Amino acid sequence: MTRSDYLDWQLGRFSEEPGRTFMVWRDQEFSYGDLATRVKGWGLRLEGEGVRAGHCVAVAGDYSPESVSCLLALLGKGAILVPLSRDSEDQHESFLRIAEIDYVVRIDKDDSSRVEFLDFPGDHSLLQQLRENGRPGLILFSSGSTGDPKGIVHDLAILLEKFKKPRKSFRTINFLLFDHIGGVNTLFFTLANLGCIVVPEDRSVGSVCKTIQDHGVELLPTSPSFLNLLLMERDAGEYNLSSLRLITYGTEVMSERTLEMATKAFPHARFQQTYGLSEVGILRSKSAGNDSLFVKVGGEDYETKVVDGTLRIKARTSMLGYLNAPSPFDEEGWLDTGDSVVQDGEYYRFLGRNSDIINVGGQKVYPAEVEKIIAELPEVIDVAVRGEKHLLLGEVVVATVQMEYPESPVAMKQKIVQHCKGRLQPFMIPARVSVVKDSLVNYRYKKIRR
Amino acid sequence: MNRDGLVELMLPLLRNAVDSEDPEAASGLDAESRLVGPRAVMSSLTFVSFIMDVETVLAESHGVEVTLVSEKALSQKNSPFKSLETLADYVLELSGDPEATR
Repeated sequence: MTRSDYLDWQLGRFSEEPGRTFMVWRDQEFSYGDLATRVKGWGLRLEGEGVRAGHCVAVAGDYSPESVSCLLALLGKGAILVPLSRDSEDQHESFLRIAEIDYVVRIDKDDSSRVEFLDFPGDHSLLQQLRENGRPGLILFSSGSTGDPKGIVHDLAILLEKFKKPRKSFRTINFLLFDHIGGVNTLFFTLANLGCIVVPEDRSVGSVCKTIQDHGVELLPTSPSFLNLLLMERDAGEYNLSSLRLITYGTEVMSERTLEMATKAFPHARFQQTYGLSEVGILRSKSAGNDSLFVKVGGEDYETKVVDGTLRIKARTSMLGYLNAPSPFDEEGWLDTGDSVVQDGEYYRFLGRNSDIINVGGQKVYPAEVEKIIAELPEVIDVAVRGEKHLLLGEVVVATVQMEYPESPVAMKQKIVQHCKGRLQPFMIPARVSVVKDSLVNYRYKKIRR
Repeated sequence: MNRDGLVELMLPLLRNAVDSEDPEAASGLDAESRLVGPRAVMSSLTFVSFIMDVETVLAESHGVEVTLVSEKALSQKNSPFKSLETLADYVLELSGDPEATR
């Protein structure tokens, strides 16, 4: 597939049902016919600004009619796309430099836009490879929770090829961010299947619930942390969320308690665990059951295997590499995901990131396992568990609990210790507890442990 | 902050820590109970947990931020972790030594 093939195919799809709604934005509906017109308009505008195949072009904004049209037009040009969400604004300067950006398109909240020529110097070999082969590219940045963000380069044509196979489309709330592999996946999946993207005003629980209710959203792709907040903050009966047919969750480990509560709260929705990494894309997945944490992952583009309890993936859609770090693939193309799993036939259960595992005197502790037990205490809103270096034991378990009415850390620790006794092994029980009032999730709705 | 005051502060923390392992032993604890070693009143895990409680309470109620388990503490000829009394002495020593505070 050459650079504009995918766009030609996609525009062909749009022309099948031009009156169909592609996006609900600011409570207004936009049709696929309108999208096709905007894409052509952006094509001319970018041409006039001097954007050519192989240019690295950042699009800074959020999902909107203009940002999506601009991304598609850039894809058609064979540019290298760099979506940047507003939430990561304080890192944009360094992202622009790492990605050797030629142009940045800034899309404001009212969907007005401006194109700036930046011309950061550089001729990174991965970007040159895309240019020489005439391929469109995609650069995403790892969230960098445990180190500097890494620039991840994909051949976008390879990443998108799977979307040509028709699948069922939904009215989908684009909860995952604009610059997240899950967000990119949801966007192109929905467009390819002529679904409808519903954009919430922001990603607070109230706003997401209101959007689901007002626009009959069927699919909520989200994270376990957000589901926790949703279950906690959603005032029973305040919003009618009965339109939800499918709730997908990924990006971090789901606790049994959260899944159990969520399946009870949404008895008409199917729950589906998803799995993907910026480095390889989103795998096809199938949960063993609505209330099961075991999931089958793979699909035609992926091979998986478990080595020393850790999942490895070999993918046809693997990234070309990092812009600012060595390749993580072995000689045969396998990626060590760093995700610890237990296997039951074709199904895996994800236990957590190896980097999150706490080593107490040689014994392994999975934060999610401890969090699950502490979260059973009714006064605990949320809990994050991590390891802290300790001279005697190597590491000790420390917990940060979010409470509506904070109490002394030592008193809270006593309650936690009593509750954990008999439920966890002694080395898994937190040695230190901090109590906070603020939320423990970051702007990507992932739990902050470090 | 003096030795007796510190012992008084730490004794309920010790009782709580030991109580989680051996409720019967918790009531018989006093300022001279052995914290570490063969005749210690608790396991090393509980000892670590107790010491962290002491650090938390010292920071909370006295504004004193100290790391009690350190190379310095472990290399002392007379272990500060023998009893609550020796631990109180060590806290007083640390709180007067700016280099020993975090």
